[in-house]
Amino acid sequence: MNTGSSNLTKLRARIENINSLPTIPAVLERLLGVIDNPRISLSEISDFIANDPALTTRVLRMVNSPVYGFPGRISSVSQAVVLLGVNVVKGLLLGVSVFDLMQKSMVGLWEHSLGCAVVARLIAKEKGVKEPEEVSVAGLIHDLGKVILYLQIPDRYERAMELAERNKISIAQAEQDCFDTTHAQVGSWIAAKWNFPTALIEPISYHHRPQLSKGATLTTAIVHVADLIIRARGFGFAGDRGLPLINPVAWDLVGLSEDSLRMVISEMEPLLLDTEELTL
Amino acid sequence: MKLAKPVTNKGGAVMLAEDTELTVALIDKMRGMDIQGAFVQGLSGPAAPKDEMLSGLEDRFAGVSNEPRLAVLKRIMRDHLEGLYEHG
Repeated sequence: MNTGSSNLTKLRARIENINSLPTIPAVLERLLGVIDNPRISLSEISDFIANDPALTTRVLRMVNSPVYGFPGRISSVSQAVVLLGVNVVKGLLLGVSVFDLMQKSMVGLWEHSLGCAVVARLIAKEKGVKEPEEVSVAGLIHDLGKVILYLQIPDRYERAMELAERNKISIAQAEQDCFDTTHAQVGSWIAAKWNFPTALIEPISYHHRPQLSKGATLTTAIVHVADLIIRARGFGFAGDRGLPLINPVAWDLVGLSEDSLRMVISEMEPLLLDTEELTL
Repeated sequence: MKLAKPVTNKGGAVMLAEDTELTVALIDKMRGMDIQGAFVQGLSGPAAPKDEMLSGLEDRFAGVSNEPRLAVLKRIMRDHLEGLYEHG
């Protein structure tokens, strides 16, 4: 189905107006006010989380999980925000807030996202990236566009998932056929609208075409490789059965030797087992 | 990481209860205790049978078999998955 460029413009307007969607959970609606604000301070974001017991629990469970590098060591929201920084916490808040939506939209997408976050952090550490948590958050929300598309037009997204399964094509190709766009494009619209930093926008936009990244080249390449590794492991479900195409330049930029790749995969395994217990 | 079963000493006395969260400090303490070993949750082995796990790997790589970098990833992942069954 080709909806044409005017329909694509309408879809974009609809996506960017997601705040008014009746199916948006209340917590996410309030959260969008926080995410939208580029000048929010550490204390304001701490207060916002601390005033919501359910959100506090989710954030603390997540920051103490294997997705991040502080297992069992963070006991308060303010400590988490100081350690992780506003940008990471914004992404993290979005990740934990769309957890329910991920579970509803695609069984296995949450596990895929967590797994990608774990692997992205391990690679970032291996490559000596200064803020591996930021790379981890990029892995956690790289498929945000799938949730947004499902949330906006669930019937059509279900058709796209059936199409991917029946024709053994990638979910991105099925989305293109059904929506005339993909989750990566939709994710980029929403991430830009929510004033996400480049280090989050570009992995969301370009995790299947990392060669297009200009401002967060290494982070985007790491998320591309992490996505491949977690799919290769068969952990979670990203909407299709096969591996996506590899971008050789991104793979070479990440530059994992065989020994490093073996180490990342070996370290990943117990962390994946731990994430299986991470229901928020 | 949590205990899957209570840890007992040679006399059968429970030293640590099931579901106890294992920390580095606790593991260090356990070294000094009169215990034989411990069962840990989630590390007993993969959920799927080995054949199923390996055929899933083949399926996932079926469309990308000509890409040399992915051939390396597949070989390493296969070794890794096979290794999961060696210590079960």
